[in-house]
Amino acid sequence: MTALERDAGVQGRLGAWVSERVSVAVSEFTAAAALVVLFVALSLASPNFLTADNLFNIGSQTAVIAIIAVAQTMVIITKGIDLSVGSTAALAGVMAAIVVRDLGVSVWTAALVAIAVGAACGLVNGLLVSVVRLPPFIATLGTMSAGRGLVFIVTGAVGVYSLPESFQLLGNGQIGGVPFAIVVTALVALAVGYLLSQSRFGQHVYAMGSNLEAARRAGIAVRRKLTAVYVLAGALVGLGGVIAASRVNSGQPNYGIGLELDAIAAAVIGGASLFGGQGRIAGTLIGAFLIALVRNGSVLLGISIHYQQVIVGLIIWAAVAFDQFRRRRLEARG
Amino acid sequence: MSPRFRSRWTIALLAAAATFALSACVEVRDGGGGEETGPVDGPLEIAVAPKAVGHEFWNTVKAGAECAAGLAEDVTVTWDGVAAETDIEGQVNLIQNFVTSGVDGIVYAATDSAALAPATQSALDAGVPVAMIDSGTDPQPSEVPLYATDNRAGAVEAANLLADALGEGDHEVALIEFQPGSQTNTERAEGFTEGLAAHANLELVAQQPSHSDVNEARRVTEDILTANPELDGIFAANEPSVLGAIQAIESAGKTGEVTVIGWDAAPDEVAALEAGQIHALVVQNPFNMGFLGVQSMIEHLREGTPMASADTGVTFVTAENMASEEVRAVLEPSCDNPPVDQ
Amino acid sequence: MLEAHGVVKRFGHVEALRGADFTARKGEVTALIGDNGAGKSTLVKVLAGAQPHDEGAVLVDGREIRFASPLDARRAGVETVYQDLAVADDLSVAANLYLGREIPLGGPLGRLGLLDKRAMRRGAAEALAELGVRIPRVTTPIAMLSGGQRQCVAVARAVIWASNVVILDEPTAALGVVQTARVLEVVARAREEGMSVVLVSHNMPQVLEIADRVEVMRLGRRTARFKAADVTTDDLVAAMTGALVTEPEDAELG
Ligand SMILES: Nc1ncnc2c1ncn2[C@@H]1O[C@H](COP(=O)(O)OP(=O)(O)O)[C@@H](O)[C@H]1O
Ligand SMILES: [Mg+2]
Repeated sequence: MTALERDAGVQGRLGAWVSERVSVAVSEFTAAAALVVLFVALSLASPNFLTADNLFNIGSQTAVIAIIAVAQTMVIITKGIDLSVGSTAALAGVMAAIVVRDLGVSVWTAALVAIAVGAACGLVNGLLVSVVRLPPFIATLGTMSAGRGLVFIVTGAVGVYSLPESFQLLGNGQIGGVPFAIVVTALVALAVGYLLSQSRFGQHVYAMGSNLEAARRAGIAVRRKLTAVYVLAGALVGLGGVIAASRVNSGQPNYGIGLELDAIAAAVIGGASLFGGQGRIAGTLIGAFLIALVRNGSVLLGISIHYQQVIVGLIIWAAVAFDQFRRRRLEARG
Repeated sequence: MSPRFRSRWTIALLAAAATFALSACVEVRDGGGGEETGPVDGPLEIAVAPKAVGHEFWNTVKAGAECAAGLAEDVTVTWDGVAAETDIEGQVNLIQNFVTSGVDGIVYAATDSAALAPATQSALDAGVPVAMIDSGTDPQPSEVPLYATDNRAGAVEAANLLADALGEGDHEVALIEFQPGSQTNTERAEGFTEGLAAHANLELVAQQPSHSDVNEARRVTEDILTANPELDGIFAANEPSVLGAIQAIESAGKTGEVTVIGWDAAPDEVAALEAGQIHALVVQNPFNMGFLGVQSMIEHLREGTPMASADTGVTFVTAENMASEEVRAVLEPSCDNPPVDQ
Repeated sequence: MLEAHGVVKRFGHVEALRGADFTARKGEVTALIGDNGAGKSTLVKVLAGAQPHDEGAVLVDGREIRFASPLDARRAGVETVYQDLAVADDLSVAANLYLGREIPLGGPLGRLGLLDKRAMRRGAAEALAELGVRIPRVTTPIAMLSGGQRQCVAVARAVIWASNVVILDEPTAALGVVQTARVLEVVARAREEGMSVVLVSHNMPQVLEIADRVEVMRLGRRTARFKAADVTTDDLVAAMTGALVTEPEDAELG
């Protein structure tokens, strides 16, 4: 009998600690590894992949979905879900386009309007969830429908066109050679990542998703904070919506149908759990880029859209199945 | 006049004349109305449904429909549609709801030719006549007419326009389609590839869908440009596809290098044509669709005239011909100067 | 001193508390016992401010207090180990110990809401060590712990923060012999510090060993109260089943 075996208690705990660290990192790591593998494979398969232009393109293409997936991740961590992101993004985008067209305001003012519109949609979601106590799925389903209706009402169901060139700055402009949309996305991801992992608010977000009653009994103002999560998420979705509108220099009433699924997929691939309490911004970004790479790579390699969708589906299955496997193993031990 | 500009007015006129002659015949034989839907004298409510609300095209259809209703007496048009072309079931329900609400006739564009066939049939069974615009059903009952663009012929011509514009030598071209599986999309995609077959120097190197989403169209076009740096031409097969494609070309700094043939004539498409970002637009006549659909429905309801299908025609618009009278009528349709044969 | 007078609590048609009385004094361990469904946990939640009551009064040091939220109870120095533990599984041990009372960073970053995680880890490790609770790492998520370890964390959290009253609802149910002994040590220490300790337990020998007084609940009411020194397990069981009813005056209990 070795000394290690004799001290099985310490050994067991140490082992548990190591494997826990590893397995938590692994789900993110698996997604990251898949990202790297795909990246290398595409670099080898297509001579046009590994070019600054293409990488900036991928970055800009992913910017909106990444920002919205970050918002979705916050909501998912609280054990919620936001089905209204597509409608909210469309509403924010067309409102921004309308104020630019009709009031002639600058793109920056338009962005603030979009963020405010998004935050207002988020406030509705938040109050429905935390005060009226509707399940998040139902609350945001309603907002999704009402929001889309509102988009058609304010636009008269026509795209908002004839915008000045300057409106494109947000989606197509550059800072020091780097697309503006990428810079904004990076700042948003950093800020929210920091907020979630380092702040009191972030701590409470995880606590509420993990055990709402425990959070309440710990003296956390759960209604206010849950509402705040939805408002913040809505504001980010509004920002995403105005960037999307800016990229196509118009307000599109049909924008974002199905966007919620992409956002949920990115968060889940990145390790967020629909059971709440888990999810990280870094993981979500990896998820968003993984999906984006599959799409970009498919076009570069001339793979049909139908296969792209199959591949994204397979990635979602693999990511979540792996996550479930990890959880069961943890529970078996605990 | 440039050889690239070929109006289909003549064809449309012939078709209209034929329709007229035919309907006259049938009327004689029929001797005054069917059993189910006898002539109606009072006010008429006609439901008109686009494939989806939210695009310029369908608003022009709506203007045409309302114009025809305005020219008749005591006719109201009820306009309603689903939010996305992909919401096929939603449209099935919409048609059912029209029947339930007791409208006198339904004029609509099918989001899916097979899926909507039963909806059309049950409307007919309930005694509500139906006319299809833009996209019909399969099967389509003989008493249901279709007022639509010949998409295939228009797309063949788009390939010819692209070949003319690119000239001699070998060229790589791409197709931005919109909704794979939908009939309109299939007709345009097949028509374009059919047209390309006649030009051995053009090679189709990429074909990706936009799902009628401008952002999506921009994304796939960017990726196509990356994958095919030598690309010379793009045919974008509907409005959102065109708008996204020119954004992508603009941001890649390839405006002018890549020749774009577009479809339809939303204001931003026309502006892009003027700015030289688009070489030519295949412009349908949605006003005429709405107009003919509602006009023949009214005649059918009031006088029992059977409705007969017609090609609503396309116009090929370039920077050179866009100022002409005919083209203006198509680009800026209004009830004062409707682009229809009356 | 923590008291309840005639507390009524209804859940729809179910009357969980039907005029319950209760007294816990400073520097004493008061055991609260009763059959399953007697209303013990419900009374605990009312005393802890986790559930508002419908009628009656809760008094702290003789003054009536109406806790609007668990936060109010915490501010009054009342800490609770709930029967369901009320821990956040996905958060670490340290984060759970400091949940709702996080330590901010010093300076402007702290005012922005950023946390001094290092200080919390250190504080948690020290507090657990002082209580003799053995947890491998304070960064371990609660989900990774055994049932007993979780219970220890919940107990530790209550006694670390309590300044006036500690309420423990069946805190040793999932514990082994050694851990149970530790919790009882912790309970004794809280009493020595002059706090009121309320212990809900089904373990009669344990109750008689540690408690100063015993209050018995049945069907949502207090039906008996004893000095632990004067009572036997048989008496307690008889009181729990309703065979024995005794409501002596406070003075008699010394
Ligand atoms: N949230 C609740 N909703 C409905 N009934 C409840 C609730 N909590 C407790 N009860 C009921 O109140 C009674 C007392 O329960 P409880 O206080 O948990 O008893 P104990 O802790 O003594 O076993 C039981 O009949 C229980 O079913
Ligand atoms: Mg209990």
